[in-house]
Amino acid sequence: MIPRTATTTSPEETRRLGASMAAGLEPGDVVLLVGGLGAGKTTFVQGVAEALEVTDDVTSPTFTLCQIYRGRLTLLHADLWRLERLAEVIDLALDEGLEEGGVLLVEWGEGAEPLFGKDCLVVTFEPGAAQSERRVTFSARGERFAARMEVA
Amino acid sequence: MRLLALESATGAVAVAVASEEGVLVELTVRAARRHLELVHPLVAEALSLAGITVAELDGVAADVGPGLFSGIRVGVSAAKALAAARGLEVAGITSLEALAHGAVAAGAEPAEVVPVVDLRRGEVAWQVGGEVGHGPVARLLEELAGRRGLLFCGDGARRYAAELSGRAGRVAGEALATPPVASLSVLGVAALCGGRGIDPVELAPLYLREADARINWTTRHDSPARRGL
Amino acid sequence: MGESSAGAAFAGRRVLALETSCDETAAAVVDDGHVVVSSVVSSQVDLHARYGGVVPEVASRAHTELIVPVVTEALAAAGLDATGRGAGPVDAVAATVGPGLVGALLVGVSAAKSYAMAWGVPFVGVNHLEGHLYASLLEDPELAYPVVVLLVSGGHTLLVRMGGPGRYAVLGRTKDDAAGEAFDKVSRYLGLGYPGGPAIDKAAERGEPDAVAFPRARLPGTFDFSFSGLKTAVVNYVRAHPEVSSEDVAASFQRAVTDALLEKTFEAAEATRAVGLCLAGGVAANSELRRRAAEKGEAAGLRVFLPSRAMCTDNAAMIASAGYFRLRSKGPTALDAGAEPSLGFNEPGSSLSRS
Repeated sequence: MIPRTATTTSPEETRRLGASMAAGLEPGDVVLLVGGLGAGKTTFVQGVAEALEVTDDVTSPTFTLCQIYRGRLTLLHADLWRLERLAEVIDLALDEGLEEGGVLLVEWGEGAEPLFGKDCLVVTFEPGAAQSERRVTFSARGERFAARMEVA
Repeated sequence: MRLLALESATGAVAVAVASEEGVLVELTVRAARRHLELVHPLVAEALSLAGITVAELDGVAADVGPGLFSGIRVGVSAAKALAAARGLEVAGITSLEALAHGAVAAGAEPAEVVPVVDLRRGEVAWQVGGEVGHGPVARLLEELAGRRGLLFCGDGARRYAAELSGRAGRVAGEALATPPVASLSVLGVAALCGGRGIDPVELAPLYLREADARINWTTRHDSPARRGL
Repeated sequence: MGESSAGAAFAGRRVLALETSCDETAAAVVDDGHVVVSSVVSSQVDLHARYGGVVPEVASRAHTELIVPVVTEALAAAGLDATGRGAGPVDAVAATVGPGLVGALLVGVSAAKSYAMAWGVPFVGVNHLEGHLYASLLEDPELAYPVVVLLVSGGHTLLVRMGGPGRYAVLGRTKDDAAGEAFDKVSRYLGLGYPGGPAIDKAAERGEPDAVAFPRARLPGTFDFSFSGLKTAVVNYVRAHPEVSSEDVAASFQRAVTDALLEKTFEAAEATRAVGLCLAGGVAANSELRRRAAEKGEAAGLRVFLPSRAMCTDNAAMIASAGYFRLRSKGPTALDAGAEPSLGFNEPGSSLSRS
C-alpha cells in the first residue's frame, strides 16, 4: 500500500521510501515528483530504481531530459527543470515510451500535470523543521492509484 | 518519375517505390517501434527489388503525421536528408490523406471515409470533408452528428472502435489500421507530377496540439533569495 | 552498436558528422581526423535569416527542421556541394548514436544514414562522450599520451584515462548531478539566470571564495564525484542566511566545485602515471577551473591542455574526428543500427559499452 504521508530525516530514508513505493508500481504508471531544489526527488528515484532491479547508476536527467533504465520494469526518468512550455513537454513523447510497458517518473512534475494529471500519483517533497527533514505527501489522481492507497 | 515513399507514422515501417504507372515495390514490417533500425535497410532492399539505384530517384515522399512522434521524426529526417543529398524535391503526405486514399482504393466511397489517427492521452485526429480536426473522440462524434454509413479507418478508429461503430458507421479492418505505403507513394507521385513538390528543408512533421501554454511553475523559483523563501 | 561485417580498412579522409544528442543541431567536415574544415552549430548561426521558415524553440522538434540546413551550411563552408550528382562530397558520414535524448538522437542518425546511402559512402555511429575526448586532439594533434581527461558538462561528469585514440578507461564519474547542472541550478536559485555557467563565473569575480565553507564531497577510494549535497548545502545556506550576497555564494560554490574536480583529477593523473591533462565539455570554459588547472599542472609538472570555448561545448567536429578513428579501427556501422540513449563508457580499459 502507498502511504498518504511520510517524513524522512536523511537521504537514505528518502531512498528507502522510494523503494517501498516502487514495490507497488505497475506497467504504465505515471508518478509526478514535485518539490524544490535539493528536496530529494532524484534520491527518491534512486530508491525506486533499486527496487526495480536497475543495475545502472541513476543520475540526474536534467540535461538529457529523459533517461531510460532497464530493470524488472523499464524506468523512464524524466526531468522538466529546463523546460518552459507545454509544447516542449509534449515533444518528449513520454506517453509513447510508456506504451512499451514501463513506468514513468517525472521530476519537476508539475510541468506534466496537463498531460498526466488526471490519472497519476503525485509525490510532493517539502522541507521539514530540521534541515535534513522532508515531509513527503502521496496523492492519487484518478482511478489508477486510488485502490493502492492506504486508508486515511 | 521514380519516387521513394517512407511510411513510419505508426509502429509499422514501410517503404515503396512508385512511378506514374503505379507501385513497383512495397515492403512493410509490422514489428513495433523499430523505425530507425528498419527504414534504411528497407530502402536499400526496395531500390534493389525495383532494379534502380538511389541516384536514379526523382523524388521522395514521407508521411508527416499525425501519429507516432518518434517514427515520424525518423521518416521525415530520412526523407529530407536523402532528397537534399540528391537535389530532389519531396512531398509531405499526411497520415490522414494516406489512410483515406487507402480506403477508397479498397472500394469505399470517398464521401463515407473518415480517417482517425490515435494521438494518445485520449485524443484523436480526423479528417472529415477535407477538414482536419483533433480532440477527444466524443468531439468527432459531435461533428458527425446525424451522419450514417461512414467507414472509420486508422489506429484511432481501432482504438475507439466501441465508440465509433454503431449508428454512425463501421470500423475498417486491420489492413487500414496503418496508412498504406502504396497510397503514400501514389499520392507522392501525384504531388510531385502536379508541381506540388517542396524543398526538403521545408518538409516538417505535422504536430496537432493545443495552444502552446507556458508551464505554470510553482516549485522552480527563479530568484528565491529575493522572495525571502 | 551493429558493426558491419565488411572489414575493409577505411582509406578516405573527409568525414561529415551530425550531432543531435541534446539541444544543439550541429554538423562539421573534418579532414584526416584532425583538420576542421567546417563546423556549424545551430545556435551560433542565423539559419532563420538564411533559410527562412520558422525555427522552432523546442529542441527535439528543432533538430528535424534544422538538420538539413545545418548540414548544407557545413558542406558549403567546406566548399562542397551537397547535391553533387556522381561522387559524394565526403568519404564517410558519422553521427552521434548516444548517450542523449532518444527523440533527438534519432534525427541525426536517420539523416546521417540517408546522406551516407545517397552518396554511397560508409556510415559510422559515434559515442558522444568519445567525441568530447577527441576535442583536445583536434586542437593539439601533437598531444602526448597517456592523458587524463576531465569531461565536465551539463549532462556529464567523467574522468577518463586515454592511452591513445580509441583506448580509454573510465576512472570516475558523478554519482548524482553533473557539475554543469549544479552550476545551472545554483545560478537560477540565486537569481543569476540561466544558463548558469557563465553567470556564476561572472558573479564569482566580485565575490569572496572563502565567504562560505561549502562541503566538498570526497568519495574515498574512488575517483567519483557528487554534487547533489553541495547543491542542497547552497539552498540550505541561502534559506538560513537570506542576507548573504549572491556574489559570495557564487564564488564559494565555484571554489567548492573546482576543488572537488581538480583534486580527483590530479590524484587520478598521478595514480595512472599520465603525462598530461585535458579539460573537455562546457564546464571546461569556466575561468576559475581553467586558471587553477593550469597552475596546478605547472606545479605538478603535467602538461595541461585547455580547449577553446567552441570545442568545449557540443559540436560535430569532435564527432567527425571520433568517427574517422572508429572507421579506421573498427570499420563502418551497419545501417540497421539504432540510437543508444543510454550508451555508456563503462568497462575500465575497454572502449565503448552499453551502460
